[in-house]
Amino acid sequence: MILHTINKSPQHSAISACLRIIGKGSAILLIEDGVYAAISPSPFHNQLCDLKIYALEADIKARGLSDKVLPGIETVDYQGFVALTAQYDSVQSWF
Amino acid sequence: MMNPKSFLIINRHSPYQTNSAKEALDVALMTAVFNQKTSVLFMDDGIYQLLKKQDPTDITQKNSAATFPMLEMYDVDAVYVEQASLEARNLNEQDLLMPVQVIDSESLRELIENQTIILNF
Amino acid sequence: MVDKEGYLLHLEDWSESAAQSIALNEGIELTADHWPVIHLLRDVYDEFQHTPITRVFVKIMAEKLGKEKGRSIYLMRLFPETPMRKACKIAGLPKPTNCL
Repeated sequence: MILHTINKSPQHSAISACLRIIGKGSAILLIEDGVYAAISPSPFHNQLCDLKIYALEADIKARGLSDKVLPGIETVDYQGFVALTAQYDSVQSWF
Repeated sequence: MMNPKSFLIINRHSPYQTNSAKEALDVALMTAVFNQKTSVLFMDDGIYQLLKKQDPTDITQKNSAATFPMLEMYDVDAVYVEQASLEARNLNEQDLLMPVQVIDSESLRELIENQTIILNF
Repeated sequence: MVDKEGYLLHLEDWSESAAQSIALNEGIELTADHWPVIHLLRDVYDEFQHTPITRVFVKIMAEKLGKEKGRSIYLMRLFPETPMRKACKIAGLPKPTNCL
């Protein structure tokens, strides 16, 4: 099981590439500009039910998205980020 | 006195991964100071620069968005936002931190055709 | 703590007494007329993260402190020669980068 981090906005190919190859049981952590995906339903539309999706709180707050995060996406702080990297077998970053 | 030129400053990138937001703003304020007709356009991920309630203290960056309302004080003529870029990001005018003119792609083409100088950030 | 040019290194170190000693170094004795301008400049910086050029700051002064004070001659009298630089230094703000 892999934790995939994405640090580019949804308009960038990083997210679609990740969604094409991601396996069941793996998770996505949105960081930096990746957190913009947390307010737009389109990228995860079909996969939301199967995938666990996290977003980094500091990046959400920086970008003014705190009130807009879609349900089903869990925000984590930096400690939560570290805990996730320990919880999964490996980390893949999409950039 | 020289004939004033018209400048269009285009912001196309998100606020924190590069310094382009600040650079674009500095240029816009400077052209306005020299009494050049200045407009600013936000499109693509540049739209994200205008979101309300940005607070980058936890990622130890400055809030460049705070300076945008200064554009009016410097007599910048117009601030435009491309409608398609807003829609593509699930955003609308109420999500933005200051009043802007939302324009469609056709008006945008017209706007761009009528500028002396376009600076892309 | 100030840098080579006398600007505060840490903006949070500012106090009215710090302002007074910076002003004395600049040869300015702060009067009741100086303080509203200093506080306004700090408020503007705080809100906009930006130090405006003289012309724009004068416009803001006119709006906030009254028309008779919103004139560049008034600002020049309080902070002679390079008004924005001196006012920023005394207000504990960074050196204006947009002095053209």
